[in-house]
Order: sequence, then C-alpha cells, then structure tokens
Amino acid sequence: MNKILWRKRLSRRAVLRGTGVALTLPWLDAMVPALATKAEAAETLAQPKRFVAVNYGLGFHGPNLFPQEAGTDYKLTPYLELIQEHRDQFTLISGLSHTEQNGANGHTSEFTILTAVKHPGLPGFKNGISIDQYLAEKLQPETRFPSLVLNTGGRGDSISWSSTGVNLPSAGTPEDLFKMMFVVGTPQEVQKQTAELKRGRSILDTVNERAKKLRGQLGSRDQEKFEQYVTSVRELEKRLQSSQAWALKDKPRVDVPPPTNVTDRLDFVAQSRVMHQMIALALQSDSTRIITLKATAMNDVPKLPGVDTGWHDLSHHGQDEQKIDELKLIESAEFREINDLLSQLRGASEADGSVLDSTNLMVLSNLGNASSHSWRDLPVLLAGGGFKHGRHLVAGGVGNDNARLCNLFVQIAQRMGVQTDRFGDSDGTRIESIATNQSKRLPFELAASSKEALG
Amino acid sequence: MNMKRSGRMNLRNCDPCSIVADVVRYILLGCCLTSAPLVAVASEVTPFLEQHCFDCHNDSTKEGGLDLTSINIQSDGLSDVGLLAKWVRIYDRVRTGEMPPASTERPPASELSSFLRQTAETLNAAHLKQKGTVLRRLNRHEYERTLNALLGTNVQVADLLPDDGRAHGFDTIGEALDLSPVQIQRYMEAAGIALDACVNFGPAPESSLQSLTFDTGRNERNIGKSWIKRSDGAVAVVTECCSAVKVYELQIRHSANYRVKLHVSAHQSDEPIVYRVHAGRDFFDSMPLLNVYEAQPGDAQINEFLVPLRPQETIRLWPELPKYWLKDTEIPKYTGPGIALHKLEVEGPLYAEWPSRGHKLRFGDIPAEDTGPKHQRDKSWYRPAYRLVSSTPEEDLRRVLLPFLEAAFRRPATDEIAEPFIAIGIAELADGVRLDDALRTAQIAALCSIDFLYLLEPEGTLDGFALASRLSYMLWGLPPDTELLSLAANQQLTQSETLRAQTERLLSDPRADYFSRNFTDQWLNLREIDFTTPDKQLYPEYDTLLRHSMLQETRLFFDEMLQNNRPVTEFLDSNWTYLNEPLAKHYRIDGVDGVAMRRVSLRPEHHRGGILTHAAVLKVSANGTTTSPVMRGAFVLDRILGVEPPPPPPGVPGVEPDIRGATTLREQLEKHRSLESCNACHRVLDPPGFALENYDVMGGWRENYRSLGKSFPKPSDELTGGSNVSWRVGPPVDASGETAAGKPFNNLDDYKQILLSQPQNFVRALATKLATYGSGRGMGFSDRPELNRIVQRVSQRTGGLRDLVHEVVQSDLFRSK
Repeated sequence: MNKILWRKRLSRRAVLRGTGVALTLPWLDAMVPALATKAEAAETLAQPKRFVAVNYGLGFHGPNLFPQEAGTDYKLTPYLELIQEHRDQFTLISGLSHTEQNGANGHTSEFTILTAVKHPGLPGFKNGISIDQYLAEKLQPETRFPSLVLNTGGRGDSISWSSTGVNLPSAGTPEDLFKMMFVVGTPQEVQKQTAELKRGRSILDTVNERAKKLRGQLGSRDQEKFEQYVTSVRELEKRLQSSQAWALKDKPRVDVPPPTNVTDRLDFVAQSRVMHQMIALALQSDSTRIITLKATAMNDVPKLPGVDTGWHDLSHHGQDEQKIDELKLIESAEFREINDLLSQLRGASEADGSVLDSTNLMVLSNLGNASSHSWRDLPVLLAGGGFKHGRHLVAGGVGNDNARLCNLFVQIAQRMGVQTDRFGDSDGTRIESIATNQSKRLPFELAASSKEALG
Repeated sequence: MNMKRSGRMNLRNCDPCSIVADVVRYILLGCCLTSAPLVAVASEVTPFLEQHCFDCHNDSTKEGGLDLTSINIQSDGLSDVGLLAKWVRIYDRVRTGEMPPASTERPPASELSSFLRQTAETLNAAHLKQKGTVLRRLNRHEYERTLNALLGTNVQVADLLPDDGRAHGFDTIGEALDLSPVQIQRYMEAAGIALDACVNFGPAPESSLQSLTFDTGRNERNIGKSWIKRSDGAVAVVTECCSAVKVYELQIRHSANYRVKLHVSAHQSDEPIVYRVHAGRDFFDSMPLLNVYEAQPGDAQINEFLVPLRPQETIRLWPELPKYWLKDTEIPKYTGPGIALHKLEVEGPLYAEWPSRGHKLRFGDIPAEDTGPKHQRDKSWYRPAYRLVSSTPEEDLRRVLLPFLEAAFRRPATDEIAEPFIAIGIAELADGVRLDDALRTAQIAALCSIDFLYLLEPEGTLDGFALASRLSYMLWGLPPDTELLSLAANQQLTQSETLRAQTERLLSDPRADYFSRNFTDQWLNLREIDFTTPDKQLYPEYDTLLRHSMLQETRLFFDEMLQNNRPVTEFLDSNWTYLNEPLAKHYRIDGVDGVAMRRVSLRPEHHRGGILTHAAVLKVSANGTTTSPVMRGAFVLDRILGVEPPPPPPGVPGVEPDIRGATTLREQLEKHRSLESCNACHRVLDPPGFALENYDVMGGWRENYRSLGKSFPKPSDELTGGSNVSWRVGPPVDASGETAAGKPFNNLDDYKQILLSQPQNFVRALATKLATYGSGRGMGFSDRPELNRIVQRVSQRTGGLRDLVHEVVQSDLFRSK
C-alpha cells in the first residue's frame, strides 16, 4: 500500500513540475464551473476570509528553525530552507506565547494553544472557546460547514474547543471529508439522507422534551451539566436543520479522484499529505472557511527512513546529537509537507488572487522547546491573509518576556472583519509596537500594506 | 502531609499534637461545622497573613508565584474551585509548619491556632457549598460496556466518541465529563450500530471448524525464504523480523466467540519458545495483545483459548526470538531457535445466547416473518429479510418499549418518563413508517436520552436505584444487574447490611476484574505506559513482552490484595509479588521459568517489594531517557501520600536533561534547590524521587546511571547479561536524601520504613482515591473528617484492602451525592 502511495506522489509532483511556475493544479479550475457561471463564481468566491491553524504537538527543534537575524535579510535555517520558495508569502514570528501555561503535565499546553486559558489540566481548569470557533461564531460564514476540525490521523481529538470549553472531535478521515464535501448521492440516497436528518431532528426533540421534565428534579450542582446537554441537543438540532437545507443544494464538483485513507498511523507523512489535500479542496470549494488541524505527534517510531527511535523520546533529545539528527529527519518531513500545503493554496487561483491570499494560515506549536516542555518562545509561522510577509519577526523578548500570542489572534480576527479588541489573554498591544523594542529596526507591519490589502 | 509536620513540629518544639490528635481535631471540626452557621468574618486571618506572610508573598516579590495581597479569603468568595484549592494548600502548608519557612520567626502558638481554626471554618463552609457529585455522564468505556451489556452485543463504539476529560486522575468524575453537539450525533450513530448488531432473526449461524496450515496462499511465498518448511509439514519461523504470522484464509463472518487451537512446538530448541497472540482489527502495529503462550520442545502441543472476534478481525502470532533478521540465504543453515507452526484450528461462531438479550428486549414477543422473494430462498446467496408482523402496531410498540426503557434507564420507567419515547414511535407509525423502524427510532432516542447517558442522582442521600448504579459502575463498569435492581426496588439496598452483602457479591464476581484493572491503571497512571518509550540505545532490553509483564504484575498485585483482603500497607512494602520469567530476569531474580505470572516470594537483596518497586510504576513516573526525582517525587506525593503537588510557579523553566555528559539530573537540581524560593517546594517534592533513584526508567535496578558518553567505561557481562550494548557505565547513583520533616534516608528501603511509620497517611490517600473514583467527585476540605473515620475503622479492623473498599462504600461519601 505504501509503495502505491509513493508512486502517486511522484506522479503528482511530475504534474506540478510540468505546469511550471503557476503551479495550477489541473483540477482546481475544473471546480469553478461547477458553480454555474464564471461571474457568479467570482461573486461567490470573492475574498472569503479564511483561517487555518495547524498545530504540531511536539514542536520543532529551535536552532533548526529560527534564524539568528530578524527582518527580511535573515539567513535560511534548515527548516526554512524547505519552504523557501514561499519566502515572500510567510512571516516567521518568534517571541510569542500564552501566559501561565504550566499545567497538569508537559503536554497539556496543547489543550490551550488556541484558547490561552491558564493552567491546563490543573484543578479549577475549564477550557474556553478556541479562536477558530470564535471566528466561526462571529463570522457565521454561509458555507456547508461552519468550520472543519481535523486530526491528521482521521478520527480523534482536535485543537478546537466549543464555547462551553468542550473539545470537538475531528470531522473524520480524508475519505469521510471528501464524501461530505463532494460526493453527491443518488436521488434515493439524498432522500434517505433527508429522511435520516428529519428522524434525527425528531429524536432530538424527544430527548429534549424528556430532559425538560427532568429539569426541576435535578439539584443545583447538576444544572451546569444539564444545560450542557440541553444546549448540545439544541445546537445539534440547528445543525441538522441546516444540513437538511444543504442536503438539497448541489455540491461543488471536483475533478480529482477520491482520496484513499492511509491506515498505517505511523506513516504520518502520507497521512498529512492527504489531509493537506483535503484542506486545500475544502477551502477552494468554499465548503468551509475555517479549519484547524491537529498534526500527528506520537510516542511510537514513525515510519520514515533513518528514524528508529520513538518520536516523543526524540523530542526529549537531551542534547544528544544523534537524536537531534533523527528528530531533524522527522521535522524536515513535516516542513516538506507544510511546503506542499503552501504550494497548493498558492497555486489555487480564484477570482481575486490565490486561495492563500485570502487565507490566514497559521502553523504553530504549543511547545517552544519540547525537550524541557517549555511553552514559551513558540514557533509561529503566519502565511497568506494579504499580510506583507517575507520576514523573521521578533515579536517579543525571550522566555518570560514573550509577547502574547493572543494579540496576534486579535489582529487576525480584526483583519477578518470581527470587531473585537480582546481574545484570551490579549492585552491590547499590537504586535508591531512590541516589535519596535528590538535594537534592529523591524520594518514588518502586521497590518496589510495598502497595495496588498485584499478588501 | 502529616508525616512531615509532626517531624518538623517536634523539632521546632511548638505544637506537639500527634496524628491522632489531628484526626480528632478534624472530626470535631467536621461535627461542629456541619451544624454551625456560616462564619462570615474571619477576623484574625488577614492580620496573621499581614504579619507573617506578606513579606514574601506580596504583589512585587510573589515568592513561589503567590501574591497573598491579591487573593482575599473573605471577599473573593471561594466559589472559584482553583482559588479554594489554593487556599486549602495555604492552610495545609501553614498547618504542617512548612510555612512560614524555618528561616523566619515562628508565629506564636495562639495566633497560629486561631488562624488555622478560622481558615478551616471558612474553607469548610466554602467546600460544603460546592460539594456533591455533578450530573455524571457515562464515560466512553462505560458507555460501550453498557450498550453491550444491555443488548448482548460486542460492538466497538468507544472509538467513535471523543476522549473523556479526567479530574483527580480519573475518568469517572462528573465535573470533567463534558458533552458537545458532535458527541450527541455520535451517540445517535453508535446507538444505531448496536441496535442493528443485536438483531438475531432466524436460526443461529452454524458453527464450523476451520482447519488451516501456515504454508498456503499468501504465506506460500515465505516458504524457502524467511520461513522453513519442515519435514513434518510444519512451518518454522526463526527470526522476529516480519514474523507477525497470520493465516490469510481465516474467515470471520460473524461477531461472536471463536475457539482457537494453535498447534505449535519449539524449533531447534530445548527451551520453550515464547510467543504473543494478538487479536483484533488487523493494523499491523496496534493489534491488541490477547495473551502470551509458550511452545514447548518436542511434538506439537495445543494452546487453546476462546476469543471474541468481529468480521474483519483476525489473530496474529509473534514469536520472541534471539535473531531479529537473517538473510534469506542464511536461514536454511541457521541452527538457532525458532517456533514450529503446525496447524491453526478455529471453531465458531459460538453464541452464549441466541437470539441475543438485545433482540428479545427490542422486539419482545412480536412475531416476525421473512419477506424476501420466495423463489430465491433456496439459493446459497439468499439473505432473509425479516419484518415484524403486527396487526396492532401502536399497542405492540407501547408494550415492547416499556421494558426496553426500564432496562436502558436502570430504573422503573413511569408513564411520564416513557411518554415522549412512545410518542415518537407512534408519530412515525402515523407517517407510514414500519413498526421495525419506528421502534428503532424510539430506541435510538432512549439511548440518547439523559436517563441513559447520565447517572441521575437525587440531592442528598442516594435512593436505591442511584446507589445500585454507583456500586455497579464502580466495581463492574456495568449497569446494575437484576439482583441489584430488585433490591433497589424493595428499598433494601440502602440498608447497610444489604449494601455490604452486595458489595461482597460484586467483588467476588469475575467481573470485578474491571475494577482491579481500571482503578489500578488510573490510580497509578498505568494507562500512560506508552507515553514514552525507553531509549533503544540506553535500554535495549525493553520490549513488548516486558511491558506486558510489568503491567500484569501491578494489576495482579492489586487483585490479590483485594481478593485476599491483604493489609493495605503491603502496597508500601511486601515480601511477595507477581512475576514471570522476563520480569524476574529484569529484576535479576532467579528460579522463575516460563511466561505465566505467578506469586513469588521476595528477599531483601532483590530490592523489591511494594508498588513503588514495580517496574510499571517506575516506568510511568519516568520518561524514556532519564528519571526525574521531581516527577517521581510528585508521583509519590499525589498517588501514595494523597497530596496534590503544587504546579511549578509561572516563569520557571524546566530542567533540561543532558544525557551526554557527567552531570546527573540530581546535580542539576541541586542548583535549583539552593534557592530558597525553589526549595520551599522542592524539599517536599524531591525526596521520594531521590529514594527511587536506584531504579531506572523501566524499573531496572542500577547502581550507576547508564550513559552514552564515550568517556565512561563499558559495562561488565554481569550487567549486560552478555549482550552487546552501546551504553556505558555512567556516574554512580545517589539515592539518599532527607524528608521535608528532616528524616534522613540512604535508599528506598529506609524511605519505605519512614512511610510505614505513619501508615495512616497512605491509607487515607488510598481511601480518598477510592472514594473519588467510586463517587465521581473530587474529595474536598469538608470531606476530611469522613475520610479520617474510614481510616480509623479500617485500622481497627484488619487494615485490609477489601475492608477499605467496604468502608468507602458504606461511607456518606459514597452513599450521598
């Protein structure tokens, strides 16, 4: 199975090379006509503001990622070299973190990477809404899916949390996603699906009615969980209702073969490749505008030539050179896939530029140094979104002097049209003003330059 | 931690009160406070803090990350759980004499006691307000077990559901068990899967015997290459690489039990060959381990077992062999050991019940008939299409649904409860939906109802049904059986003697395995056994079999403690444990042959005894390369002494291990500990970890650290067992230290004696864990008196684990919300 996938990849690469600089994938254009006329398509797709966050739970080895220099003239590091073809499309930001992330163990900061709630996992901890769900709530995009919450492994947990602080399970495997987004059933299947949705709604009515009778009989301590149940039922009911409407609408047509799930969970490269393709498809078809992806991180030995030590173990390299070398193999593979994702989004053209132009793509990790479980100095790579890029931005000091990652979240939210000056532990400071306290002049402005602004 | 307190207090000669006096004070406090009105003003608290604490804990210095000037015990209202926990920690540290620190002036005894009294009153009142189990959802394991028990199925639906939140180390805590819209959607999906899986119309599928060999089909290509065909027809496998053996022709068509007989023998070996059997979905690397067997030298023998399998599942065998890989050309000449595989026999499907419990529950006595085309019925490929036959569908629906609801909801279904579920079925019938489907819809609704998904418990003392569920889920992870439910209905279960007898019945049942395993795994964090993998260069001995054996040791140990009511203190030190050959070799204990786990007596020179010396416990409290005294210390504090260790203060980076050089983590820590602000916590945290330093990351005994530094000497054969290893003999281990109370120890043996000198601390910690796990809520400040009563009662009896479980079940903690 693995061999087949490998061959597939080669052939796709070959296609990419053949098309030259524009990197236009053959199937991308084929998608637009699916939405009636070109003019209509242009209108529908005009500047959707998108947000994608990908979190890597075991971080990246800092010296291989962060350049010594700030600004545009930074020297490429081993990892940045792998994405250098997009150098003018991204900004690597250092010196950011959330405050007080010391939690139940060294990895609990993953719970809060998009929420910034303090002390994950400790007594009294209750997570809050993640930035992606916040954006979906505020923007209410009229897409088939308000957001897609993904996990490279297919099913599993995610980095997204609901407004009640509950982790959202991932939407499914690439095959599931493709089916949800593009596969149009036969009339009988559509009818059956509509009937199922209707049945689902009446089931929810029933359990809701039953719950209401119970309300008075429960103690005061039960109220919160009871409300969570009732709210979940009500929200699902709403979602099924909207699904019912969407079920009758045409799905966008795509000219790509359906994906095949990669069942070997150790083969994280193949898994993330397929998932990245689904992300690109989801955005370009405007099936959703908001996506999070929890990238694979594992204890086991991943399937990659030259690696024979557990990944988690490697992240605790203890400065052992051999381990750092193996870790580099893994993280380079990750960056090659990140490069592929950037290429896909950039190559996907739409009415007014590329999909990447209208996407705030944030690649980050909840660990700045996995070897010591440090949740400071997080790696944050921001691409697209019409921002002016091409720099290494030192947004804050080192360690305890880090600037707040939530300030960046706020700026992104504002760019996307959300009227807010607060999220998580943001303190109202804008990133560029923090940046000026560096000795070197940092010309980067995290506001869009007038020329490149999208809207 | 009282152990530390009394030591310290004696030294400081200021508060001679003993543990017993302390216990009495707790009890008095509890009794007074539950009846006393809320004390609103704690007049002496603030002056005390101002005088003795603010110097260090103010808004600018914030020693240890604590700014006492910003958190007021009165005005902040302790409704915030985190804040209450913070104040309890402050209280405890002042009470035990840890604070104010030794370097400062002692507060006068009178000031101290009135500060403690007033703080305790406030904390008690605050906790009473937020006490009680929060509406508790079944976690996904309980949910799956409940569905399968209800319907007599064996469906795997837990994986459809998101991972559950945990609190206080357990996944049975109402507060941490959240719910989202997606999850309800998944419940609908899972319910449909289980309801469909239990349908058993027509006759049971006939059982057949598949008799297979290992040299056919896709396995044929291995013969003459990596596998050898022997003259007696068996296939011999001599290398581990790629040797996960399966027979591709094995066909599993039904979800049922199958009897498997493996005909095997040792190949070119006078010793038995160990092999693992994995069963489940055929994901090469993650198939669950079923059991470990041995192939004996000589003629083929049969290893037989019964295993539940579902369609698309299979079994694989993994022999444990000295050679990992050989060239195909070397294999015929190889004279080393291997396993000879003669035959695989699989008999099934075997059903305990046909039709299933779920089938009867779903359809009752409504007859069904095959509605498939009559002229096709004699065809081999024909699949019958059964439909319910009813002339009075509404009536039938109503009649069949009531017992279903009762079984699903674990209590009688009154008309009021049943009405919405009947209504949805009737509405579907009115829409022209068939009775089968209308019933299914109503039953899915029932399985998504709050009555099924949650344990509904009234305020105050639990009624019989709530108690039945609590007990059953605690000990079996299952809904209450008929006996518990009928005792609940007769109002007998709430009587102490009946409750005790039922607890005894549940504990004696094989299903109590669930409790032993589930509680042990969560209490000691064994679920995280794979969180890190021991470094291959430093710890080449670690493998699947050792991992499996170490988990077995701790689970079997707990089980024996429970079944034989062994004194709880044996968790701290015992002269016995459970071992098999791989684990005994790991512990360097001779005379244990074979893979079967058995009880083994321990001698002092083995350096083993009690759970702190169990390899699994030592493994989960370390990472893959190093042991951190801080992490292990925190583990012991939390899980053995019941003190939730404070989190590291903000702004302090973790110590970054360096496995290249000569600096041990301990030496790196010394720097940390030399700072007074760090030492305040580390003098408490680190000592238990120091005592465990003689045990490496996989629980092996060591006198020197293993290192990859090339400057260190190579190990002797005695240390390596003759294998070729790349690690070197690093710096010597220092396992000595001093408890926070000032008691010195040289090694774990000494430290265990210190623990054993005040066993109540451990018994109380374990009682707290049991009460937390069973009642579904964290124990708080106002629960302390009742926990102390439990400890006293158990100590007065045998001090045994089974008695402790009984006392917890009998206590108010378990019997009220």
